[in-house]
Amino acid sequence: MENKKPSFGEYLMKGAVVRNPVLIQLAGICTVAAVSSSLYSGLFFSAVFTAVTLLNCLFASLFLKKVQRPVRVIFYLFVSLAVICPLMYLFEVKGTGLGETVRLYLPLLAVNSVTAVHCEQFAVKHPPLDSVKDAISVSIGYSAVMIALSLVREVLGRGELAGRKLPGNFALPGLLMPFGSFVILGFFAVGLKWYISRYQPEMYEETAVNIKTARLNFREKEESGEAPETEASPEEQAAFLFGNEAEDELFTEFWVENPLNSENIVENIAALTQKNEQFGNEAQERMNELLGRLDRNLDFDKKDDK
Amino acid sequence: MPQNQNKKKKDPLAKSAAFFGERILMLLALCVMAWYYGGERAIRVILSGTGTAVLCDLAGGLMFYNRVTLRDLCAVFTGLAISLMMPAGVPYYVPAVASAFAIIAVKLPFGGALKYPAVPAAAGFAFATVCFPKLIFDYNPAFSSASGQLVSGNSLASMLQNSSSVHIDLISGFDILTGSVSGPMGTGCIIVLLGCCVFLLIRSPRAFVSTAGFLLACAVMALLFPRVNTGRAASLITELGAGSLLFAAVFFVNDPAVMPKTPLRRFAFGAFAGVICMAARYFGVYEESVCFAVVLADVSLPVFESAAKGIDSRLKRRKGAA
Repeated sequence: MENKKPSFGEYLMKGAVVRNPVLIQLAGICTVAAVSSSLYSGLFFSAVFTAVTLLNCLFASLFLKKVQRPVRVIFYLFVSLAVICPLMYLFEVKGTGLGETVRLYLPLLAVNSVTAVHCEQFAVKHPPLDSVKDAISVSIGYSAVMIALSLVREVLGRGELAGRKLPGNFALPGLLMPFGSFVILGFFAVGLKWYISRYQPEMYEETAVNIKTARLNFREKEESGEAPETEASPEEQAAFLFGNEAEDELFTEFWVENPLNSENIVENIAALTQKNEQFGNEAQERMNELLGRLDRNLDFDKKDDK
Repeated sequence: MPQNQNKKKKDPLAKSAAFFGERILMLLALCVMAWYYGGERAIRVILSGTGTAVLCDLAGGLMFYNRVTLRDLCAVFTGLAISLMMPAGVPYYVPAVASAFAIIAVKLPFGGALKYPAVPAAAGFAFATVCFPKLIFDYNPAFSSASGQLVSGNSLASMLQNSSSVHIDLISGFDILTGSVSGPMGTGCIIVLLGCCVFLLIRSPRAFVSTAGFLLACAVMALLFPRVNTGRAASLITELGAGSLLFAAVFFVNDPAVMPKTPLRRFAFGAFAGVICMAARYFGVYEESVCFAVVLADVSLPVFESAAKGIDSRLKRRKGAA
């Protein structure tokens, strides 16, 4: 069977709408809340984010496929700094009039979770062109939320539009505070979920956050008198950290790095065997690694028995 | 028949209607006092806040849950409470904005009445305080005492904030009791609020436990750390009588949606809210911070509950070990 490559429209629908980094995956949400106090700062931040994400994804796809994950993260930092440092220099020398908040939060883009997650989830496993398409779609999703939020906050919170006073002289300064942006983001998220459930119902399941199910299980167990699990399982932790894609792609990496006992390793091997077709040689290598660990663990178990 | 009775007990709308119905009755008494002191304008302010809350609830219910009902009475209560905490001279849009925020941002998104994470009226008033601080605390001279000494801006709360030498002889104690001093139009009448306390104690003593904890904590804080230099008794009376503290104790602190289940925890939670309230009064930027304190205490309820459970289990273990 021939695998059909997704079109740019499909990338856009998935990256910008169904898995919107801010409203669905809730990544980088504090920066968005802090910076989006005026339309110009929102536009500026969106442009920088787009540049950082695009360069990082392209770089990861071209050069970092064979590099170990911890080293890749350091490269993301350097690439981001290559964009941000000159901007910070310009800020210092010329000033932009965008306010202290932007200058304060701009360096944080270098360690942006949205960029890192997309590089890890997608760019390092796909060719450069697909990575660029994914980066553009994610940037559009992020920028759309940022600009819309900035617009609403500036109009309602300050009674201005792009720095010009609106007629009526009505303003709710409370919306310029961080809690105001969280309230508005909440309504945006509700609107987006409603749109997906109405017009893209087949994709609605992808918007669910799995951590919710884990919490519900926790509550049910607590109510029924059973001892609840005090720590979230690796899948739940991965889902919480990286969103839904964690289960499909990052899950294996996350789990393989934390095998604690022989039982866990055996379960990992079973899971990897199922995913063998999907991951190919990579899964085979990990299976070999796990088998090595299993041998070592079995030795330890025997020593304990003695 | 017994099955029907069980069904009635489980109906959440009926439960919230009964709860808010009683509170609206109490608020109506305060509305009468507001009308007595503020005249027609007070009634118009109340109508503005309540009407907006009701409209937002109807529209939001239709949009979020595809149903139009006011049976839970939460919107009416929220609108009335917000309006009564404002001065009679406030522009009409201020209570309207506060009520709209309370219903749209705090009540509806979390599933409606008695499911919210913080009391909507307190959150709405806090939002209005942040947005329009000058309007919210600009008290009309219509509320001055019989001697005419108190004018705009000289409410008890503002005098306490400025550490003025407030003495009970300076301001008539009777004026404080009857609410004839500068302040919010419906929350200053201490006699009526004490009557509401008695009503609450008779109708739902379990809920009153929380109120008692709140008031006790505030009283202790007022005695220990007076903000006036005319004695601890003056500090106690003015702190409890100023602003909306007593009002919040009667109407916000004992909301079942944001209250622990056991009486001891309720008392402790009330005291916790009281300490936050007094701390906000001492260190806050606004002359009246009780609504911020209530919201803060409400949203920290899960943390409070888990801490209380931890302490409970430790005590049980110690008993078992002994």
